[in-house]
Amino acid sequence: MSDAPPLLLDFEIQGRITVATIRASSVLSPLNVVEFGNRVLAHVKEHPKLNLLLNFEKVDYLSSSVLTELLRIHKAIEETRGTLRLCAVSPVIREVFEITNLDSVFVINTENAAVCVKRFERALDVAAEDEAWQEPKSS
Amino acid sequence: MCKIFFKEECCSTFEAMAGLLDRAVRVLVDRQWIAPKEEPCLRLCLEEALVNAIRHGNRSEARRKVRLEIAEWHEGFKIKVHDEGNGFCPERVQVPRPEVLGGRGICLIRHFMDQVQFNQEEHCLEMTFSRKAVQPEESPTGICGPAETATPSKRHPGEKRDESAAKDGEISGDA
Repeated sequence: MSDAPPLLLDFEIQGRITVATIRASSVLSPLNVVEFGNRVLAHVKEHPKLNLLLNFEKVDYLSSSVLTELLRIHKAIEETRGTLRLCAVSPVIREVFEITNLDSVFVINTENAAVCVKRFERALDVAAEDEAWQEPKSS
Repeated sequence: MCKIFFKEECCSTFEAMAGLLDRAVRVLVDRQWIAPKEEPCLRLCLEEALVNAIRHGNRSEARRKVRLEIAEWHEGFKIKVHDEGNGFCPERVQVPRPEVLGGRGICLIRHFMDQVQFNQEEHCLEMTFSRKAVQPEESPTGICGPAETATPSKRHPGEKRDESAAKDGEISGDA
């Protein structure tokens, strides 16, 4: 018998995007929310410039403890020059972001992961194109 | 008088709390006190209140108790969460700035519940939830602070609420 804790989320690479799907609503309880945050943070630190799409498809509600973990993840991704987006966010969860004024911090999508991966790819293309037009920095 | 239909206590661990939370939500669903679409909001509010009681009220000391009571209240129900802490004024907790990591639990409860207050007489957090918008009666005596007690009805999922009044203020506690 294995004593390993059940996996909280799956990481799947789709082109330039890493999709992290949270396995079920119950994994984001106070019992394991910090572990959820730590696992994502470890992945972010191992993969600088990560383009992470967090998939909330199986999540029914979001507590303030999860918001705290998401803020930690957001900060770590910014520090490693990556990008974070949220997808398949239900109306109730979206409302939680709005109530707490965090809808201005996160890019939140209600569409499913497949749609959001394509959108994310396009956004990366646009960002790369914008960067190409920037004046080169004089040394 | 309120008729209590759920009353349980647990020690201050998240394992014990998870069981208590599940049982309370099941009672509300089975008795059809909440609509299916309201379950996530109710679960969220109960979880936030219980986590607060364990972390801030009982300082995560497992031997300290948390008690949850749910009673009929007009056309809805009233939830009371007792802990062994000093109490606080939920009305004074404001929405933190985005760069602040914690302190949003009470803001979420205030949004989804009709009324949230700290009952000084019984020394507990008190939340009311109506199944349809009802005008609350005058606040009972011993209730801390008037700010949120005048809110006529809760926000159902999808309804907007203006939190701008609280947005710019300082945080008064990590709730």
